Amino acid sequence: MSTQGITHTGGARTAVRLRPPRNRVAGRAIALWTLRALLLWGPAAGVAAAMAAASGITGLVPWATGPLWALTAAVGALGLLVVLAMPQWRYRVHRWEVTGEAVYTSFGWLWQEWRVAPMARIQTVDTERGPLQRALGLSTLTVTTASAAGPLRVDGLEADLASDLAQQLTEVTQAVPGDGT
Amino acid sequence: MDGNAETGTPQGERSRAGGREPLEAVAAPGVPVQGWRLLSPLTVWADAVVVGLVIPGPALIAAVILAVAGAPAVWPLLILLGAAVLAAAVIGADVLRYRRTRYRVTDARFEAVSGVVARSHKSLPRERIRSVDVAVPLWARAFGLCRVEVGTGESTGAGGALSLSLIPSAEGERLRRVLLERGAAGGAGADGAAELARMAPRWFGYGALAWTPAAVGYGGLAAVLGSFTELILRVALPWFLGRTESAPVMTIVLWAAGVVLTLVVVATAVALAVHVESWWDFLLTRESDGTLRVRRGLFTRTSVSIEERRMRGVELVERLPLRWLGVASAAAVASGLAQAQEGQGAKGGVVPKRALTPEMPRARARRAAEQAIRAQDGIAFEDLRPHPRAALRRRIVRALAVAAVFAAVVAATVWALGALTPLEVPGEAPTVAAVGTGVAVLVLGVPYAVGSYRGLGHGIDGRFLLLRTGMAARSTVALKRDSVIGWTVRRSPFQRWAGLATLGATVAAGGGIHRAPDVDLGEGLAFADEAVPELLAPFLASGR
Repeated sequence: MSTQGITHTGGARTAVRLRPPRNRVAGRAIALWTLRALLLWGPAAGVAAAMAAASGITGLVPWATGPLWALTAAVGALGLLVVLAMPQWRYRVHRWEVTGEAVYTSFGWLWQEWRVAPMARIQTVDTERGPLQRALGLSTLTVTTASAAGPLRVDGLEADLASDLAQQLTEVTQAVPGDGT
Repeated sequence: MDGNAETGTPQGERSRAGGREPLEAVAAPGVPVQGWRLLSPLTVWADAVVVGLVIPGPALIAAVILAVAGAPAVWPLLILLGAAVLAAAVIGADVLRYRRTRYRVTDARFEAVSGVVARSHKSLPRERIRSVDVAVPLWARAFGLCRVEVGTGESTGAGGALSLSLIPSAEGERLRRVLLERGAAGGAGADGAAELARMAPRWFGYGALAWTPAAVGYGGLAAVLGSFTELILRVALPWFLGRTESAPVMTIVLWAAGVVLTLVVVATAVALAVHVESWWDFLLTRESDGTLRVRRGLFTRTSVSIEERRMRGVELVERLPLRWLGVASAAAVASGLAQAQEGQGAKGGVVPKRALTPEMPRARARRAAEQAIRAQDGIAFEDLRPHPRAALRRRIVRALAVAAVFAAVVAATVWALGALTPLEVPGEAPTVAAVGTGVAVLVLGVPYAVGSYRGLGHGIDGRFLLLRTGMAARSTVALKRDSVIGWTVRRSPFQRWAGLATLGATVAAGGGIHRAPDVDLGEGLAFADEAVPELLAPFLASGR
């Protein structure tokens, strides 16, 4: 078996690709990601601006004021770009699908990732809601397997849908025997 | 130590074997309780030996120094008295610990009650126990004792591991057998263990170049030199400079070479000693109870048991520079080892628990790995499919980028030295420095990039899925195909641009994922689909 058992799949080079999972997350997820990005980039730009202003007013380190304003502009521009582009982009990528056999998700924006876990290997299913998500009526569904890496996470689901899904997945996985390893 | 002591519970108690009595029922110190066992009474003596070695020594030295230095006699006496009180307190605490620790094995659970002030009652369900590791520290060996660590391999939640320190060696062996026997592979019977690999004396030499021992050797040397920096700078260096001021250049070079050689020899000796200590009398066996067992160690005898049904695969690791000598080591990919590995560091071991063999000739390591995973016909570790040329391009580009960054930093530093300090820096110096740095980085970086591209590979052989990556430490992992419990596909913007993807197979073991970086997207998906049929198939589409 050591030699003849090897199988190369050379012929399939361009033929196969991953199709996107069937379902999108809730449209309000765009608002969620926008708010999160604002919460990260707003203070970052604010701190840079405050440092620049402090430097300008006190005049302690005269040569630092210019670069600090430049830094503020750079952080602000980058943040604005992220806040405007990232949520839309993410919304186009983030998808999920639950079939009879497996859970399938895709997420990310610049770095994108697809994950598949078979139903029989699912160990825990939980939903979680942060303050922002509660305000928007959204929820995150997390599905873990026995592997220490790669839990499947669907961010920005409708809260009701997420709890229904969690319920459904829990029932299905309880019906499967074995410890999922 | 047999009969119903095997399970620790008389037949009549079975009905409540899984239940917990109130703590008080088992908390009366030093009194035998039905079914419960104590640590070995010799524990206190063994620990007292350690205490006796550690505490009085420094105290005695300090007292002698003080006495010689002419301090009033009361000070040395006070120090000795303090040391005696401290030693007595530590030993007394150990007596309490001994009297208040007890454990038992019931039909369903392994339980231990411990703690002097805060009592804890830990209870592990027996079917969740993944590992029973027996270690014999040097001071315990004289007393015939051992330390036993029972782990469930749970990565989350409290109570994942339970350790008993110290119990008689025979009792440790009994616990190992009793707690793991439930996983027994029926047919093996009691005909004993099959030997899969054994140490050969000449392999100890590899310790000089193996990573961990060498790191201990050179790291220790650096630490020692670091703590004597003052002495070296104030005394040794001026003495050396004074001696060599008028000496010919050749003498200075010889002296420097001699110093470097001495340091290398010392570090190598330490590395060899560490390696010998770790792997002395190494023996890898398959036990009749369905476990793989690694035994090794000179001063501290260690026994690690890995349940065979927890084996997800094996890994062949080849580290530079030993790879150039055709040397490799094998490790297990098994669930329940990740957590045990974390606890390992505290006990001073340099060998991870998943190690199946020391550094040894590649063919031997490979055979050990194949036998450990029961691949009678061998595994095609070499016959792997290379990754697309675009993967090589990415690695070369990375080397170029690193070279450019280094060159820019060096050039900027040289320029700043000229512009901001009184140093005389010629006009062309930044350019020369940049070019020199860039070339130097590329000379190392391009071969590294090519090597790490050559290291990439993936393949399928029978019931195994093979993934190979790494340049400095090349790892070829053979996973059982039916142990892959999911796939991940990750693509950076650059990978999307180049048509590549990083494919990850998730398994219930170790880090949880094994990756094949930079496969061609279509080819990688087809590979994943073939390796684990039906998992990925519903989500694949053909055509671009």
